[in-house]
Amino acid sequence: MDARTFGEAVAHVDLATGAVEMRPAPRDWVEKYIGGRGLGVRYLLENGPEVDPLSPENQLCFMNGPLSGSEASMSGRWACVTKSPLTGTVTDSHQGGWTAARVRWAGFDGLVFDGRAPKPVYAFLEDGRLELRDASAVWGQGIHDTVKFFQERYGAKDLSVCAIGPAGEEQVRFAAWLNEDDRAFGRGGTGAVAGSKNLKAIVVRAPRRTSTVEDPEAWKDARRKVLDRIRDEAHITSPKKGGLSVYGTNVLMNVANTMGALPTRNSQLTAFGERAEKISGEFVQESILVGDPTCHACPVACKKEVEIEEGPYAGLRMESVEYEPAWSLGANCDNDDIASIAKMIDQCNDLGMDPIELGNALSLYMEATEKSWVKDDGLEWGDASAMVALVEEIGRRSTPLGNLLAEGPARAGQEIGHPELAMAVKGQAIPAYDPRGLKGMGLGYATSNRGACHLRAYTAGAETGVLPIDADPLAWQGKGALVKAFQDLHAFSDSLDLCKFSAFAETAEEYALQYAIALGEAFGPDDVALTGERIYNLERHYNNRAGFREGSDDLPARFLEEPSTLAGSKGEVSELAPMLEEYYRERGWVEGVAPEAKLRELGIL
Amino acid sequence: MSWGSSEARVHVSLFATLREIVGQKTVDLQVGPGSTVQALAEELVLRWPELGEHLFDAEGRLGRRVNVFIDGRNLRWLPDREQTRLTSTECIDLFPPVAGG
Ligand code: SF4
Repeated sequence: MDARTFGEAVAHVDLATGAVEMRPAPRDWVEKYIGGRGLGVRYLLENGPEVDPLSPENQLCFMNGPLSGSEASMSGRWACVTKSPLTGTVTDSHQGGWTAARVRWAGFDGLVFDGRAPKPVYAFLEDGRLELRDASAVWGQGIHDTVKFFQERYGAKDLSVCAIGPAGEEQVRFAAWLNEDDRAFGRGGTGAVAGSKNLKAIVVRAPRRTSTVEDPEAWKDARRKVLDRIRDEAHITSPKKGGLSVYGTNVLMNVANTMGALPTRNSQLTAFGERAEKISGEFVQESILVGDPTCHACPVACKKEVEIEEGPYAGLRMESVEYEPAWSLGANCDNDDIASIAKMIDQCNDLGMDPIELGNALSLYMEATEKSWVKDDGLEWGDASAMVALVEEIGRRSTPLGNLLAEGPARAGQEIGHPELAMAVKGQAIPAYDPRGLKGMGLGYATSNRGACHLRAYTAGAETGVLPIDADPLAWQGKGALVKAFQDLHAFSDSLDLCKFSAFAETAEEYALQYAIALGEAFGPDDVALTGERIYNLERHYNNRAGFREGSDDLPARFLEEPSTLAGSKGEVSELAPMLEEYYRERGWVEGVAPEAKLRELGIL
Repeated sequence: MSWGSSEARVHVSLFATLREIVGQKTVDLQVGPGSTVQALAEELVLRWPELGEHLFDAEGRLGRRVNVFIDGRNLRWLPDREQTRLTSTECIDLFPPVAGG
């Protein structure tokens, strides 16, 4: 395994014929777009942005980065890149766990699936070989049973299973892939694309391999430096000490609530009051936490495994109660029952669905019920048992209401005649930060290339006062530059591919250092920024060609017109128009379109 | 911000690791007329010395990395910052720099 030859081992699989061919990625693609997200988007662009996402013509790319599966900290990630059936944009999603590493150890840098298999198949990878095998025995099965099935067939040792569930098979528009039972390619409906291709799983068996680099001493020193930074970041990443390690991502619940940045009741409110505590990381830690699982090469261990001992979900042991689903199925739906939230996250893990999109679909229907705009009995705010029942119906599209909400909140809102109830951008629902309380996050949602997303420009780190950058959460000025800088940085780390949370301990300097040593070539922090910008523009170019042009970078009217009434954001709305103006100026874009001159300047054209 | 002459009773909530140090979720404190956030933090450290390294920097100022919210607004964005005066109506929330996603 050698970063210097990264990109040479890409398997192209024609699902229609079963043909598998190893073809190296063009060298200049790797140089310009690195790997992971960037390289995957370049493949997608080549395939053509006009394809129907659920047709055989769409391409499904799984891309490792040059550091995936190496000894670098937080390097157990890879990207799934495709045209999204939810948004119609290019989308990429990343998962942790061990599959990325094992795929690399098995001798693959990436997998590109084209066409549609005539019957359900899975890809089996071992020792540089990829075979398509019959998946009819597991078609229709949940992800937990699918994992068990393959572990029994191949033995659990050195095995990773990444699979879709019934939601993917039914082409629920926000269906996900999961590996290790609970680590998701969550957003954008990558699982639905797999379902449309009759691709059930990627099963890989590979023992650990170490990287070869030109200068092993420098590689060791660089890794030690990064590890020290992770350990020294006492408040966040430091193992067993920092908030992310001790409480997981859900440590954010209370602070978002305090700041009036916690969308509540389908974003009608900006805080959940004292009830936020009952679904917070602190509460989980003191009441139901039983373990802190981790991913390949990560000392932080931010995953939170819980066990429910009482009530209707007694006996449930699952991971992981993250901030996003605790919010989407909690405050967003006026539900403060943490046990039911754990249950629904586990349902999502088994059915293979994105809980963020799911929670927004439920809250949309709850608000429609409140306003008497539904034709059936509707769904009451916080009715946890009804929510749990409906999750199953959505994941299997087994009832008319389940089928409606399986289309995602944007389409469901249109269908019931109230698109304004959908808290979505470009068809993808918002995550757990209210744009009225964190202005930069709102701009980040509007300009994200995959629809509303917190991870493209995670300005929350700066706006909540965590990163040493002055960014008043309620000021709109300066957010254009801030959003661009974070979007570009994360586009780079997503292409390496390192966990997003590395950014709490590492900067462009550490990313460049590791990449340069692994590659054996000069690469500096400025190259990180430039490469990130190139990748971001590449995605924008794809979207422009797919029909996203002026006016596509928007927010739901609620955030622009209905002032917050609670907590730290009281009286605030999102000043999107001036922020967008500032942002486009920073980017050199014209009304959301990356002009040809910009694309040439960055070497895209 | 209004300020009367009588003493104020301030409601302080602690989160994440700060909560573990204090061993309770909230603390109600009586503060004198004209008291500032800085004085309140000093009072907390008198009671729980272990909080000191989390709240103050080497110069004894409220640290850059602790997040003190007054009615949901981080004091770093208030005009008087740590010299902001307290009234009894306010909720003070104290967070270490927590992050996730
Ligand atoms: S910080 Fe969390 S999500 Fe990231 S690699 Fe570590 S355990 Fe996995």
